[in-house]
Amino acid sequence: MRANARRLRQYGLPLGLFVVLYVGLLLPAMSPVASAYAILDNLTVLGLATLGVAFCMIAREIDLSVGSTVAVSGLLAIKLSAFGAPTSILLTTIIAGAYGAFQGFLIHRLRIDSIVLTLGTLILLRGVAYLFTDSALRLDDPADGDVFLTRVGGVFTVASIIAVVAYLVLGGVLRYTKPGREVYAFGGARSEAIAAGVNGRRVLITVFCVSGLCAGLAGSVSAYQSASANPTSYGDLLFAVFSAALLGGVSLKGGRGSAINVFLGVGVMGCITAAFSIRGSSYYEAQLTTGVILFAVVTIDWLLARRWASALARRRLELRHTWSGDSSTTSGRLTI
Amino acid sequence: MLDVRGVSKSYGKVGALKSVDFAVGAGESVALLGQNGAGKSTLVKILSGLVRPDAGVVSLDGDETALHSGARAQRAGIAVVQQEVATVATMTVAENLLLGLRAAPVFWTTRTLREHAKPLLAGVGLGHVHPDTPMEDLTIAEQQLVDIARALSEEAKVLVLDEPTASLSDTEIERVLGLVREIKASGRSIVYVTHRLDEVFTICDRAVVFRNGEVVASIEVATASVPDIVTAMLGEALETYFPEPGELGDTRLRVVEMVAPGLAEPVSVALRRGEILGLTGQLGSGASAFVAGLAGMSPATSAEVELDGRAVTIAGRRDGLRDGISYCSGDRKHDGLFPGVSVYKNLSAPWISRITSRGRISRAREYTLAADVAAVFSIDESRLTADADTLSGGNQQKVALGKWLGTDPRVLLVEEPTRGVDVGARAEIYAQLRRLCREGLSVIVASSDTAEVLGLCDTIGVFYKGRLVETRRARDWTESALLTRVMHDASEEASS
Amino acid sequence: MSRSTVAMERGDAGSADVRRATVRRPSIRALALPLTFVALTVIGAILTPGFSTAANYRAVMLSAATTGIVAVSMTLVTMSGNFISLACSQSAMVAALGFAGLVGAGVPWPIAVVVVVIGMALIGAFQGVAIAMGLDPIITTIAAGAVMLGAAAAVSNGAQVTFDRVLTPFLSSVQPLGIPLPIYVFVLVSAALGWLAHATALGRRILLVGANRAAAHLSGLSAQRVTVVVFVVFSIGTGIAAILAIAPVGGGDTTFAAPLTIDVAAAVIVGGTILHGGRGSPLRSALGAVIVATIDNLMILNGFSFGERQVAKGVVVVIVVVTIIVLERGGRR
Repeated sequence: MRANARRLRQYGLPLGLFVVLYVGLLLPAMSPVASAYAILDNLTVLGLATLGVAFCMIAREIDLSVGSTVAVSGLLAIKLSAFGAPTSILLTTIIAGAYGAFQGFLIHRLRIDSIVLTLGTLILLRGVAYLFTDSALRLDDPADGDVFLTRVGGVFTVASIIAVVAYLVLGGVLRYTKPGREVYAFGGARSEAIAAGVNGRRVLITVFCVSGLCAGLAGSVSAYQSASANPTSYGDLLFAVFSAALLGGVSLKGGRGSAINVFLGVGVMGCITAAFSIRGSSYYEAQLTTGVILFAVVTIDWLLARRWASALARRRLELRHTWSGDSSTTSGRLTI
Repeated sequence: MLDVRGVSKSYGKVGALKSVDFAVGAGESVALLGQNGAGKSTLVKILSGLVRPDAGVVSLDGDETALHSGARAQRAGIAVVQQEVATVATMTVAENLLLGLRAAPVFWTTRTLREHAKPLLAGVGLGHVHPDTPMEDLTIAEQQLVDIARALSEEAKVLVLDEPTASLSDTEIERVLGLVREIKASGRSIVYVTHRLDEVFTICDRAVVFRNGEVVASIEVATASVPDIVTAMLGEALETYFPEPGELGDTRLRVVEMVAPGLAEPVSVALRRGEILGLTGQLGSGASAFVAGLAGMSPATSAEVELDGRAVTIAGRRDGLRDGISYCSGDRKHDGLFPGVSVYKNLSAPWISRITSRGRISRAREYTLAADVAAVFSIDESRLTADADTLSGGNQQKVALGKWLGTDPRVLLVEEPTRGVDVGARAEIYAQLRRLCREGLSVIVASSDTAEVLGLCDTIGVFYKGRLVETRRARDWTESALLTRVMHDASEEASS
Repeated sequence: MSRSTVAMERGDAGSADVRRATVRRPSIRALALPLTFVALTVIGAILTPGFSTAANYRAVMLSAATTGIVAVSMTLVTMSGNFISLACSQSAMVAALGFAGLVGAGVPWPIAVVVVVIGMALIGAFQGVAIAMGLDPIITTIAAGAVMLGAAAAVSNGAQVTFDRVLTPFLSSVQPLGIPLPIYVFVLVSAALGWLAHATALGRRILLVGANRAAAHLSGLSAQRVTVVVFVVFSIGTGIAAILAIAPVGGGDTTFAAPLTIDVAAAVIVGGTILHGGRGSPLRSALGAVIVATIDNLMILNGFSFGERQVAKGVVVVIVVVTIIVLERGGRR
């Protein structure tokens, strides 16, 4: 069964990787509670940002501006801190979501490649971050952020609970609602989806709005956690986000991935980061490891895909010949 | 029920539909017939809301309806099953059924999906299919049925089916036809676009024949015969712009027992020097599959190929190029043209090495050679430096074809040589293909345009459902015989 | 069938004739970039005291040089339809630190240059082969960037890698005619790759593969070979730029050249190269780099903050991208 093989490839590979790294790398170094805490802690920034970008990737789009968006959101949240933490975070998230929706609208309207537009906004938003401040913004009362660091039940913090809730809600939307499933259809088989009546503009606006919302939430919560925000931060978030999404089994080719995949990917990244930091190794070694694992996973995935490729190519060729009638050229034999 | 009055549509200078009138009553099933480009697909696009007519009115139950978008058409009660399968392979059957439906619930839990899907599936005779099955595990016929089920779920008053059986096997076709009969019995109207005459006789009450964007006949099927309909489709005598055939030489290419995806049984053909062999058939009949296989485009082909008396293997496109077999696919947008690149660079693409010395391209040589090719196909020389995709369809096709001349091919394989090409450019393309043949080239044309193969080719082979069913000299064919053969398998006569 | 089909009926057209015909009447799009540059320079000269001095022009060119060399090499990757390498910064950093380490360890600088160039060629070839095999260029370059960064950090322990600039006299301080070496190299590399892209068979193959891979395949052109070549060229170009950048400084750590990827992408985009491939020019990317540097320079002279300059850069990139798209739509239906 093709479908079962696909499911195995989509969940088995990242799950196996996660288990291997967790048992092999993290558990020898720290207690189960501490390790669970470390992994969940990763959910706030990396986890949320990846979740948002994963929406875009499932729709076969890309949001490169995520790092800049998170940085701006952090600064914005601190600027708005006079309204109190909940209002500030909510406002920031909404503004970031609205910005994302606008970005999605532009991509649809101009029929522009999202990768190109978000490359521009990546530069632009980084500049906006510097417009807030050249150095760093701090909360007037650093204690305001403490609540987000409070541990709950040993393994959670308030921040990671917020992230988990976001995962449940957005994962549920993706899995169990019509707009969510349309994202898959749009990303997996765009022309078929549009022929079936899926509204492309709505999908694009939705996914980029979600990407903005997630980045806004990640930036503002993390700014409160650290009681400060810096315009230089999150320059390398994009790499981590892509790694997490790809390691988790979300495909750049669209139509593949779920909140569980994102969670697994973020978990894998969490294992690597936590294991290296507890050993006192540098952040860069974690990067090296991530890069090598990413290469390996992508190659394995590619090999698996190739095993079916010849069969698939044959099928596609049949289809091409079956449907080689080009219904779009209507100016054919008209004037004979 | 459905009433179309004075609908016109033109693309640029070309009139695709010229003031078309036709009506479909409740519970009636009407076939739309016509050769490629006669205007059927434009009408289907107008009915589905994808294309706006320039003039004319579409009314449903007497109410004038503006079909500005797919959603409007749905709401008005017209459901269209497009020619291309509009299902997403990686999603489940139930999800596909609800995809894009206005009436679909917002929350798609496994249970609501199943509850919605089950009656729809039962309605099209797929009661045995579990709603959670991934779409890709279904056969193409079942996928087609799911597509129909989705269209039906919209409470459609009129169901438009655009060649729903083009890719199906006989037993699968039976299932679809049976379903169409049931839908008809329930009082809904059906517009059925097809190329298969036997289907018209099985399920349609009336056949509306299109030619050159006009409705030329409305025939009651019960009192009609196959020749009646074929005659209506053909209309006036053949155009005279086809060139005179030339002398044929020795055998140039011999293909024995070629197996390729899309062919139901091994196919053998022979081609002589200076000959134009036309392979025709409906969409998916195997004609273009054979040509693509011969060009080395398909992954798994086995064949004995002999070129000028020498055995050659064609494992990939490069082998073909080396042996002088050029291939021009029917989809120039996909693999015929380099968009955004100037015309002369398009023309020189297959023979860059010929104009290169020590890694450097000689612009002067390139330009001269390209200008010669352009002159052969009368492409305006001043357009040589324009981007190829800014040319008209006809000129684009000339570029896609002409680029092969610089490689000195021995055999030229062409799919649909004049698709989307205006009359003037057609005549030029025909004339030049023939001229090249006089100089010793051999050509295989795969075309679904029967008039074209009949006028252009020396020999014509007809494909039907993946088999090469008959090959004759062109002068031994008449157009009605050819069209009948293409649309209708004589061996099935009894069953229709 | 012989050549007679394309018979040289018209004889050999005079080459002057041909040249006249092949020279396109410059379109608005082709002229927009040079005009923007001229306008910028004129406006800058009028409104900004201190802009129109030899020293300042030299400063602009020098700041454009590193980005420019990389952008020019990157253009080939982009033209071939492989998007852009997202590992520019890391490639440059690895090359720079490698060079610094070698010279610091006593290797004569010319040998160090050769070693770095060969090493970079291998790194490029590795990525090129992976992508030619069918891996996604975005994933591959991102992963390669992480590996390079990690490896460099592991080797250098995250510390500064330094060398004595006295050891690299030619690279660090020679200024023929008062113009720093990187500017010469920038001009040279632009000219060379511009020639490669426009006049050679390789350049043509790159263009055609980028314009339509399927059609290129039908015409017997190998997308795989082209992909490997462009990544090797890009990597070598980045290596050279990195050496020139680190030579006058005398050392760096893993944050060396960190903003390079973005700057290069901006230069390529402002130059008007289409990120999907099939259209573009190394020379215009060079001009793009100079324009970005000029804007930056003007804003610095007028006292704008880093953030404002960055916003301006982003706005320019977005405007250029949108303008190209709008012009494209106007040009073809």
